[in-house]
Amino acid sequence: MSLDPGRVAVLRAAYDEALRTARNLRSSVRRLSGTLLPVASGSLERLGEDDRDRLDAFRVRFIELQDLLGAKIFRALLIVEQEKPGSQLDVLNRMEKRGVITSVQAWSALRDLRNSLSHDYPASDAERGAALNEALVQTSALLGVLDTVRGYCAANLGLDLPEP
Amino acid sequence: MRLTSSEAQTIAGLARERFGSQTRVFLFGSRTDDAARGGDIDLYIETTLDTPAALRARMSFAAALFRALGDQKIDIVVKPADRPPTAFESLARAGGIAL
Repeated sequence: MSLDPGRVAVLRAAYDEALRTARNLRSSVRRLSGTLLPVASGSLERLGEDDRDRLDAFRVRFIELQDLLGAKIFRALLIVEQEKPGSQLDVLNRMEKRGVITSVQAWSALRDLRNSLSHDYPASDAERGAALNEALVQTSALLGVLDTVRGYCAANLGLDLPEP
Repeated sequence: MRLTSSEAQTIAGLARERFGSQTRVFLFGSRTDDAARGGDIDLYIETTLDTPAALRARMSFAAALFRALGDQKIDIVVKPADRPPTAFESLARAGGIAL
């Protein structure tokens, strides 16, 4: 298949943005693991401003990477392959078929975690802490999806994307 | 209530499957109003799970709902067992329709 350079450029731009976010997310995990993460029960309310900011950076980076993959990269990938992305469920089904995500169920669970992280709603520090701890557990899965996108593009489209 | 009976059954069934059989599920917000149109599906869920388990159950519930109901906008509010309801949650429950 000959690839449309304009469409490839859109995919590359989205991938590069995700790669920067992924590097920042990794660095958050590296710096916070064993100190601020996982969040110990009852510890959030005692944190100083700097520590709150550090945890917030981790939270925002997780949300951003999930957004970039789900809202931009999956669609850009289909467009490079000259397919028309339809509904979100349809896009995810096609990502599952390609092996980019392990399952629609697993990806949708990450999307719900992203919503829990972004809402003003969580009523308690315990809920905020639980969401951050789950994000810590799920970070490798999220980073793995970006790497699978890279592998898929190399193997199926002959597209070289930079490694994490 | 503006949900089909099959949608209501799917929601209630999946909620009890993921959050436990004692789970209480309420529809609240604009979908309780037969005269309104469109709008998100707002769900309020009371579970006997504690906070971390409720968060994981919520992830799996939301994913299963997405598969079952497709691209409908669904807002889920979960009250875990280990804290009292917020003012918002009490209102959602009082004005909600049990599924």
